[in-house]
Amino acid sequence: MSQGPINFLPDEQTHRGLLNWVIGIMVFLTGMAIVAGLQLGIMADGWRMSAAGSLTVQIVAVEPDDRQRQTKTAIEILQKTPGVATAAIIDDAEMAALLEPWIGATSLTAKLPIPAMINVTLMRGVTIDLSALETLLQAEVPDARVDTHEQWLDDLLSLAIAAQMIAAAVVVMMLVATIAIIVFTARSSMLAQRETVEIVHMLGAKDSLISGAFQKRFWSVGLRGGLIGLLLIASVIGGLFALSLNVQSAYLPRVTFHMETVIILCLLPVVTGLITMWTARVTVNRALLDMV
Amino acid sequence: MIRFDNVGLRYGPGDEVLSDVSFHLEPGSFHFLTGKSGAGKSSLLKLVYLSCQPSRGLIHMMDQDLNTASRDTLVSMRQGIGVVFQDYRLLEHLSTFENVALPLRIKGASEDQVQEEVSELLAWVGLADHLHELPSTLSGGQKQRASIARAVVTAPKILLADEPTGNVDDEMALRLMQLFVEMNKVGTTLLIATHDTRWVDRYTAPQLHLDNGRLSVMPAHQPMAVDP
Repeated sequence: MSQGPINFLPDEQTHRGLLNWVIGIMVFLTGMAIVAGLQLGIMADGWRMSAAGSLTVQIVAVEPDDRQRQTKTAIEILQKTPGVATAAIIDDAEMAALLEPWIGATSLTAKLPIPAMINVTLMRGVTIDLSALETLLQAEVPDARVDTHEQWLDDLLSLAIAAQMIAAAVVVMMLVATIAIIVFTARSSMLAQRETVEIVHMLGAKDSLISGAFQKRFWSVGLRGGLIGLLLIASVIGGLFALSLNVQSAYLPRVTFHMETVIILCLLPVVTGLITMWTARVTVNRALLDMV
Repeated sequence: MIRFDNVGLRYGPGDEVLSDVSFHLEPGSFHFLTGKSGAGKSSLLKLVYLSCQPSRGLIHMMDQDLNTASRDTLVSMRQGIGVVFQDYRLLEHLSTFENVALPLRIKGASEDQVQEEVSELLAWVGLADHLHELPSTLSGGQKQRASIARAVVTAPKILLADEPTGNVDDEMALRLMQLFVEMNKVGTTLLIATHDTRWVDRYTAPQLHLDNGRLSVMPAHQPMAVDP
């Protein structure tokens, strides 16, 4: 005959209530680190995608007539260059809009020696020798400067990767801390129930039956803690999202969540329950080895 | 069924509480374990119900050498041993019924079997009206009877009892002793620790007598004629 699950443990409501909240807070902090890491990754991918396949040519001539002439020549050369899909000048209105966050909405842009900017998009999958293009342009357009966005993009991506690594380290530390809390709590719970465990053990219960009872209890604690954590995450992110809707600024990116972030967050309670359950089982099984 | 060879038991760094204990109990035998308080009776019982390991010596039980038996084997052996404790050791948060049902459920008995056998046994020991009461609401004698019901509910191969009649009235004590004897007649190996000489005098059972941790085996004597 096999040993099915038997509920022989007394209730420990007070300890369980506290543990629910402790695990909930750990899940909240872990979830926020996961959200930060994932959102950074998604933003970095967006930057990479938007920067790939495009470049900017600046015409830095000081004299407006010279600048206009060189710009026209550069566009003609670019449009004839194999691999270039489009080459179009960024007009004054667009330039003013780009500069507005920094210098405000003034007519100053017309008086400043601002370089002409040509936005170049490349054909998909085509690689262009940028130094050869720059040489070609400078033969007829001496004030042309090619900007591939690589420098600032590399810096930005390095920063994003560093932040992602920190977020991952925070997740690992939270996981270790949560496991340590569960190990400590499972040991305390077993000590508190030592008399009960000894009797059930003496009656012929297998270790798996005893650890199974603790495992069942800790599964529900982990699941509840995970749900508390998820509610806290949803509240904070919902609040931030609502606040971001009221902020009109070109400096701040629009807050959006991808489906993968939402799915990972929704899985947090189940994953927490499984980790809690497994940790309690291993802890109790090890403690039982001290008994004959 | 049970063989001890030069067994010693020591708790921590102190003196041995059992020294050079050797005896052999045949399957289906009936022995009393006697001795003064502190002589080592409970320690010897602990070794038999596999709650601790000897500091030295060999123990053979149910065809197994305890020094080499696996953990799973020990679990199976425990399921074949019933123990009546002097301090009852009932689970205080479980009802009388749940306490007595526990060994059957651990063995994997069906719920129908649990309901039938536990109800029947509790009625027999006079606890039919206390099925759903917690042990804290029971008298000492009722707890003792619940403890005995839990020990015998699985019809164990070995039944150990530590002062089983200490907290019940004479009539119930006699009934319980008769239950033990009946179980012994159908093959249960019986070892009853007691300091109550009335029972030792009444039944023809040899004694394992402990004195300061040392054991001597005293043969059975002729039973006294005692009115039931």
